Amino acid sequence: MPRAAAWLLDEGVKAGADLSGVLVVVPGSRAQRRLLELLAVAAVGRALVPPTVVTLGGLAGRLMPRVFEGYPGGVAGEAEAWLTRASVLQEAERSLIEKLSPIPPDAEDWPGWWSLARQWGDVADELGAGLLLPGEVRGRCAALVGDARWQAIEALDQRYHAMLAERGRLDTHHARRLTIEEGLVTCEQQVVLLAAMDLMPVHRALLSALPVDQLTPLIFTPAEHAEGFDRFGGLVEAYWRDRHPPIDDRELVFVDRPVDQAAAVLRACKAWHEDQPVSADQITIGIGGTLGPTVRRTLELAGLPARSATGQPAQRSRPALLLQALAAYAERGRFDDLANLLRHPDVEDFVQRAARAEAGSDDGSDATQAVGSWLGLLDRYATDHLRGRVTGHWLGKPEVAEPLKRVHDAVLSLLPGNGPRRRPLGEWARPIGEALHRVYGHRPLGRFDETDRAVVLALELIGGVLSEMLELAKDVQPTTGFPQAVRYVLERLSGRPIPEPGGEPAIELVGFLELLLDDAPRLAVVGLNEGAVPEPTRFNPLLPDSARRDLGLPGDAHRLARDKLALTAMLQCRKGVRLVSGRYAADGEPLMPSRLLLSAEDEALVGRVARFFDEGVPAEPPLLLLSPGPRDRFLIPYPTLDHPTLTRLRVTAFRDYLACPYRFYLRHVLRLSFFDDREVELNAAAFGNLAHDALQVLALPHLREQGDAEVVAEHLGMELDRVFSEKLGDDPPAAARLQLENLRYRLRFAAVEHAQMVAEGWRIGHTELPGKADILVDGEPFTITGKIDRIDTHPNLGHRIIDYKTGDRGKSPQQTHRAKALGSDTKHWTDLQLPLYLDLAAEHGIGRGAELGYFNLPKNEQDTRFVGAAWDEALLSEAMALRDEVVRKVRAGVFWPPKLEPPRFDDGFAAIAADHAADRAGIIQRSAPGGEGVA
Amino acid sequence: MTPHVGDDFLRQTYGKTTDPAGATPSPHAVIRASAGAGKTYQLTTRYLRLLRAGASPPTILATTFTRKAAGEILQRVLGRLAKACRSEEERAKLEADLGGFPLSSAECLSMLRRLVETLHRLAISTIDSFFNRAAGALRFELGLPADPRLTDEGSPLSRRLRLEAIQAQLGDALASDGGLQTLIELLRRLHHDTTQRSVTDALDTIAQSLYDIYRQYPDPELWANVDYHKPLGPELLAISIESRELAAASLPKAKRTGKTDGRWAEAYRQLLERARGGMYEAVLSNGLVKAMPPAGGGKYYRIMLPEELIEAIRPIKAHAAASVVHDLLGQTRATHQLLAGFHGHYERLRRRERVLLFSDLTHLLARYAPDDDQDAFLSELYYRLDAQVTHLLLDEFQDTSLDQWDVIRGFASEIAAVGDGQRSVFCVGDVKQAIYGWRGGCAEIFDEIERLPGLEDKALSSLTKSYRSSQVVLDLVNRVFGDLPANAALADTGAAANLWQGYYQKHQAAKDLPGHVVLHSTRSSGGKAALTGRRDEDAALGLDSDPHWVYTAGYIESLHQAIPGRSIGVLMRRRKSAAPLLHALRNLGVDVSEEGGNPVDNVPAVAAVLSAIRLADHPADAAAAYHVINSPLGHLVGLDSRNERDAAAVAGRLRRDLMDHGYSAVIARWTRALAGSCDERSLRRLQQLVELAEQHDADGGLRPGQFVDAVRSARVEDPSAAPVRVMTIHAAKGLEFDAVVLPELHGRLNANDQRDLLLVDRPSPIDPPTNIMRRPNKVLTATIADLELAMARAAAEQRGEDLSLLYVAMTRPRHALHLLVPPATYSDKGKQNKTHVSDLSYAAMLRQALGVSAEQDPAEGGATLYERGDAAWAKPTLSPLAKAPAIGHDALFKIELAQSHAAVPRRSWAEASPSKLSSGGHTHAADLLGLGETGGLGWGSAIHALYEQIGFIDEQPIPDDRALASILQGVAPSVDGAAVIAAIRRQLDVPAIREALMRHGADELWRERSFLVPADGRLLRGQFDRVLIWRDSGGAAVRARLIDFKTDRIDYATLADRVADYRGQIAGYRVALATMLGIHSDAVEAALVFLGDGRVVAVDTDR
Ligand code: SF4
Repeated sequence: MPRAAAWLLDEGVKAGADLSGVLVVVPGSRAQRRLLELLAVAAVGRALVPPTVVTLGGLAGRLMPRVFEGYPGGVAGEAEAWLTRASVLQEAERSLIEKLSPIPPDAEDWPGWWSLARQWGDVADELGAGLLLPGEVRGRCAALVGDARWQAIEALDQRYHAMLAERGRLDTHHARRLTIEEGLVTCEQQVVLLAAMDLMPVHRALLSALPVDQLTPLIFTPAEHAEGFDRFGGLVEAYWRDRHPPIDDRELVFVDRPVDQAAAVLRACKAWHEDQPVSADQITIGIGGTLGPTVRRTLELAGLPARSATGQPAQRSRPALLLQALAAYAERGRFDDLANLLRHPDVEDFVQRAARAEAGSDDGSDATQAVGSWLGLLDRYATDHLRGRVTGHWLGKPEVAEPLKRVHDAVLSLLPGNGPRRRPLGEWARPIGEALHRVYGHRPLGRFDETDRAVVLALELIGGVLSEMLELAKDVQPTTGFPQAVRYVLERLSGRPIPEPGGEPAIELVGFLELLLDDAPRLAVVGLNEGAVPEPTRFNPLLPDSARRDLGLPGDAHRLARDKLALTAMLQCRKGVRLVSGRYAADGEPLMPSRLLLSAEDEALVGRVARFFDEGVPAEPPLLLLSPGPRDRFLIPYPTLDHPTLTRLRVTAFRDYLACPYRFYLRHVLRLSFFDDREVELNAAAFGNLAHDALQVLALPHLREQGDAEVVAEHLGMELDRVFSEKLGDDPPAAARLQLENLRYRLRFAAVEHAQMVAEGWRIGHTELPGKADILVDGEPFTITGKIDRIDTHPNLGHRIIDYKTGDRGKSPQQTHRAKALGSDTKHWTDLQLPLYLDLAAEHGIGRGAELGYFNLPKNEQDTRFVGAAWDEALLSEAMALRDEVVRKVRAGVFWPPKLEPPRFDDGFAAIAADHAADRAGIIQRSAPGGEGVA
Repeated sequence: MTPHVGDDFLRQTYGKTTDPAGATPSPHAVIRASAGAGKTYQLTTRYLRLLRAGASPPTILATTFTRKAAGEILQRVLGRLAKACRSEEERAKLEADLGGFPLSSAECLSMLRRLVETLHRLAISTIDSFFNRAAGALRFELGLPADPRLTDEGSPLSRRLRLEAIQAQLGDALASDGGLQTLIELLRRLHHDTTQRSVTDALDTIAQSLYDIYRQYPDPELWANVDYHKPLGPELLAISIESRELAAASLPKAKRTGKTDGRWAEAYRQLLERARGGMYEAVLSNGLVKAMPPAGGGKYYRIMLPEELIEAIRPIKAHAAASVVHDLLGQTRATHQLLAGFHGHYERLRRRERVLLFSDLTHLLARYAPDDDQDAFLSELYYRLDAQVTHLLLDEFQDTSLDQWDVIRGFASEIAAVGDGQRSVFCVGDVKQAIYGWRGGCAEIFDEIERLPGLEDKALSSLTKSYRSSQVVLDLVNRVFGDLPANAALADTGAAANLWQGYYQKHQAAKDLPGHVVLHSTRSSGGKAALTGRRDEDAALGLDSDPHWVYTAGYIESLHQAIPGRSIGVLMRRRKSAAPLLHALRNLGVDVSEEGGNPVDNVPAVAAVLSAIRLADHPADAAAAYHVINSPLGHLVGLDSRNERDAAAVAGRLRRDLMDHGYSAVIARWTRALAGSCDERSLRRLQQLVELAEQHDADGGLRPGQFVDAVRSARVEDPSAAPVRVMTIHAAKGLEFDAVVLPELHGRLNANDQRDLLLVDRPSPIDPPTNIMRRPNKVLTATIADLELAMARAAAEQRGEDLSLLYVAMTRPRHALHLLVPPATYSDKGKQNKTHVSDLSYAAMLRQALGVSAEQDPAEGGATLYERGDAAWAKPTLSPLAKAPAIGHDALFKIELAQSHAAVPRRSWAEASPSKLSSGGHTHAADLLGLGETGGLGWGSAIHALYEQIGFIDEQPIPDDRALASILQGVAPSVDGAAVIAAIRRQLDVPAIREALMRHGADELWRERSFLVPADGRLLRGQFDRVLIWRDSGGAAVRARLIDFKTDRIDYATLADRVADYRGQIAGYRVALATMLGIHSDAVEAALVFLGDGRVVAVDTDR
């Protein structure tokens, strides 16, 4: 490459620094960039006028006239061609489309048509490279199977060209054909073909129309391979078919998994450096297939700077992702989509600014706080009211509803305001641009700023697409909605990378085909496997290899020859190139070595195959790239005592302590809340609360004594509907509606049971009775609080203290309150809720004689009934003793160790308590003071 | 290959290895191979023979089921050849394998070459990836996206889509009238007439369990496709009930009292009452009805039912049955409706997100391959794949699903039909290992392929030598499976046992390996003290779980200690049963790896990282915040308080970071920073987390939570985990272990039959169903003969699979097999509960087969009930290969490179153009988005294009309008040319502008000249609008003036700051120009020409 630069400047086609008259054609965009760099540096002080440098892809455009006879509009641009194809498809009769795709998109589904158009376009492009139009395939292709399909394509293609012609426009491939057939090839510049050996028929045809002295091919391999190239420097397939790249077997390594390939790269770097010091910017890593991220990450883990020469896809840039999320919300308006959108950092900023503007305060303090609670509020809201569609009407208490409404309004201001919902594509350019402007326009963006940079470049690309949209001829523009327009913009971004910042020295990761002109002294190539190298052309099922042969299109043989040539060149222009090939893909799929590696003399071939498929080599564990510390410091946070001692507890809290003191600590001492917005339906608690709320009506005078189950059921049903819509609004998620019916069903049986109890003479004394009992433990006061669902009284049977339970299984108090410990056959208390109710009831003058029990509303309605807990005095006093025991431990701050048996349900503490840890017992020990884990 | 195919050829290609001279063999082969009989070896040998016979590799399609197996086949095909090329000994072995015909190494080499040349078209793969290829080739026909996202039912992605589909489906149901009711009924039915709280999961279960059946048979005609006689009309019914009152008379009298027997009277009363109440299921379970002949034997309380009574009951029973069936059929249709609705939404969603399941590919292909026109399908497929399949090699054939078979059959029958000896079908498998029935895999296909025209029962053979297991193990297998019909435990499996038996042949060991087999009873309660010294601790820690599992854990621990370094496979029937065992094992400090590895968050460091990411998603998640703060990570992400505001701020930063750099980069950074706080294992797990993050970066969404879910659901092998692996028997298929423990042998095998929601009734498993309906319960089944038959068929299928499952499990070990069963229980009178020997359970089956007597079988358990072989088998021979790779063997890898000493960057300069340098590289979204453009797009470029035409205005004339217009046509066709030209003319009348365009004695004029200049580490590139250059006598440049045209209007107030804005840009230009001309930048003066306002401003950039 440096030689090429020097040559251009000194010998060159016209010596001197003014290369404005020179057109250099290079294989890829990286070579393009690199050549200019080298020229610039070489030409300092020589008033360099850079040559025009294009990739092979851009060559044709340079050799064609701007305007064509009869086509005043000139050649149609990419976008126009694409959209035209789409509308041809969309207007075509179904029978025709079905030949292309059995399930055509709906008429209005433009994205669907666009992707179909793209596939069709791809076929056209591939044929175009061979100077063919889709219409000509059937004629040229012997034994073509699927003739009907090609007929369809042919027909559509005609309509497409016609539609363009109406606009005075011309299809690119058609234009190239005209240029060649009518000898219109023009080019003022001297053409230098720099290692542009992957020439297609169309290139050859165009180039051969140029006078010989206007052409200079530069070849990149030693003279010995001169016959390997034609007069344009294009490769000669036959020649390379039986040439073997000069591979040195000592530099060829076979490993198992992708990580091992990355590791092999590291080993290579190390070896090179030990051989003679080498810096990051002297190393290039060739990437076959999709190994890029793995290699890069491994380098970074090892502390080596790395850069991807291809850059990051624009579609993953912040502005693009924002548009995507915005469109999704505009389209479906679901709570989830809003939650997504609000989690986009730039939207978060935007909403924050909006809030600040509203608050009129410049210091964002309260606003920042707001943002925090916005997402928090959103989560809480989702847990309380479930996620449905966002109606704009926010349920619940104002302190939740109002801020959320503000946030929502702010987001709405990003969407196109009033105006038709469907418009010609071009008319969406401005709304889209403005949405982005609202989010990014508030401050100048730094081009050279580390974080702004990518945003700037992305906005620039998007801006380009938007102005292109404005330029589109009216009749190419489909009428779409905002979301589809956004989809269009994103589609146009596809395949447009955002280059990574240059400047800093780094190891560069380069695609195999770009390696040809790389001039780094050290090179390693990974992913040398079939399917990755030679790189398959985006597999087009309509053009299998046999068809390509018939059509004179370059096929597999061509690619193989091309890559052999490339590899040969790489190996010959530097010493010691490390070649790596893997046995398995990331998903475990077995791989095969690239044929490039197996193109060798007999002995070498046999040796390599034997090595690659060597049986019984134990897989080595992946490299350990970092040095571990003396001990693992990730432990279970040991309880601290810097919290005020608890002096009151809810009756239900005791169960938590008995289940696991540590989790009790997290929940009741630290009060760690946990919720998440993934609930798609009423969870157990919400379901239960609904029931409780509804059941309260039973206390109303006219129902207290109501013996008619029907009547009771009716009132319960009405009350249920009321509390339900109060909680979930008028547009609740479908699943919840279904649950509502299930609950109604259960309540019917509850009604029967209630009526029955009434008949037996029971009367409701209290419901939802807030209770508070002050007890003395070791002379110290302690408060127990709780709410008793219901207390019934009976003239001669006394009191019943009742707790409603809506658990599916409908367990009895015995089952929930007492259990066997492993290895012992005696039961012990696991929950104290009901016994402690006695303490609370006492405050209301209800004696210890009262009967305790559940009113179960289980999934099996047959079991809907009051289930008493027959505990004798002895047991109850045992319970009370345990109560005091718990109180003492809580006072003493005994919250360790955690129970080994983690809860079956997700209580949000699994991570803290290391529930999933392989060696949990060990970690618990190490986490305690004195455990060797604690420094 | 010669057109004429001689016997020699046939013999050489297809003949038995043993007798090269034998009779002319058939080209086809169907081999029933037992476990460990070396299927892969057989298949690869066949492959090589074909290759040798001249078959071109792309025409040989060899498929198997697991990627591992596919890898082995490749390895054996290419590896064996390569070895044969190098070593005389290997060549001789291969020669023998290929039939004993002389095989030169030259021939090996040419075979190898032929393989290598077509490597890219080799058709050796899993059946899934072959179908993937085929479907890709037929992308258009099948309507597949060009770039699908392939995944499987288990992935979070497909679960998400399922749930969305369900929500949508529910929405529809609610919208449609009666839809809601149907759903509720359906769900009640699913939960055995209860109203379970959660509906979404219930529906997801349906979606998962029934969707495949629906997709295979969507035709509503097939559903509820039975007509048992209709229920009676109301009045008829009334008669048939009431008129039977008198029948009461015929009830038998009690001898003593002479009164009607109370029990009979009561039963009859109840019967009529239920009939009136329409409680038809209850009617069917009424004692008298149950007693009805023939099924019921006609006796009630040992007394014959009187004829009148039978006559009386018959119509009621019939009506009851009919009504219940009616009810059932209703639900069946509802189910179909539900599935159809779900299907619609699911498909739409998947198409929208381009998500494809492997099962889709198979399914679509199966549907696309029409039975009537196979040839057209094949020729099209062959054309697209660039290869015709002339040889078919099928591995693990018994696992082929019906859908897959529908596709494969085409290839097979075409080949079989052409008997030219140049095409062949080869399939190897083992019906005894058909354990994928629930997935549609079905052994009967085996029988079908044997019946294929052209293949009929030719070349069937079977292999019973095991190259895997010790004879000791095989003896046990032989003893258990050698005589199933005699096994009392299998009494009521009907034909299943016999059928299965038919496939079984005595197994024999090929190698002489030491072995050990044990049948051992665990503890029922309080049993674990004996085994683990940790009991008190556990009690203190409150460990309470099923003693059977605790005992098993202890057993495994001691086994592991007894045979260190040897692989132990603990194989479970159901995946969920593994949980308690895994837990118990971990409490004993036994380091186990689960099926396919464990979630990476089994080390706390990873868990903490996930908490941080969860916090990014949920700033208000105090638990996550607390976790992060109290881990080394807290300091790293700068979180030190639980205050929600701070958490929110950090969360915001995290999300931005994750979005800008990707998850893998961020986590990699953390990992580096945290290394010192981790032990080696945590560090390795963190590295693996980074790998997972890379996969996520490809197409992760905006929600960090999704990443957490993905990670938690991914299983990753932990290199440091011990060689004890707990997995399902299904997952263990195709694997082998030194020792195998089977701890889940108890539990009735038919316990779950009722769980199945649907009864798919078909004459044989490979026939299309004649009827699909909700599964009837026992009572009903007993009532209707056809149903009974259907159910029996279904059950038999199931039992066969149960036997296969045990067979697979028992044939995994190389050396040792440990069977753990709960102890027998005894009545108070000390009589053994007979279920332990008669139950339809593996445990009972084994007790029976191994003749365990009650005496040997103590109630407290912990006893060895049967034992053979040598417990110390491991001692003498410890093969190094069986050792797990020691961790840290490739110790810490450190690397450092030299600093780059290059004065200027060696490559990849940061690029900049002066215009981008304006206002210090700062820019505005409005400009970037083209919202700021004045005079419309392209206006600016048009103006510049025209000024390029103007030389020294005081010397050259300006081109006329026509010339200008034609130029515009080229550069900016869309702008209004006339307007632009008019504008120019106006501007040129402005004195200041004319002045700027004059020569002023300059020697040279550049117009729109592009430049490329390295300056302070950046590459400046751009275009000078206009440059005047003065040179000295020697022609060297001495002074230059650059002029920059600005087309945008500005009002005078802002002129100053506007100029200031451009200062950076002009500075850039001056540097560039100076460097180019090799003069000092002071010698370069610059001027901005605001064309719109006709103002020319000299810019001094040094200020
Ligand atoms: S038949 Fe039985 S299950 Fe069906 S509705 Fe009547 S009572 Fe309920």
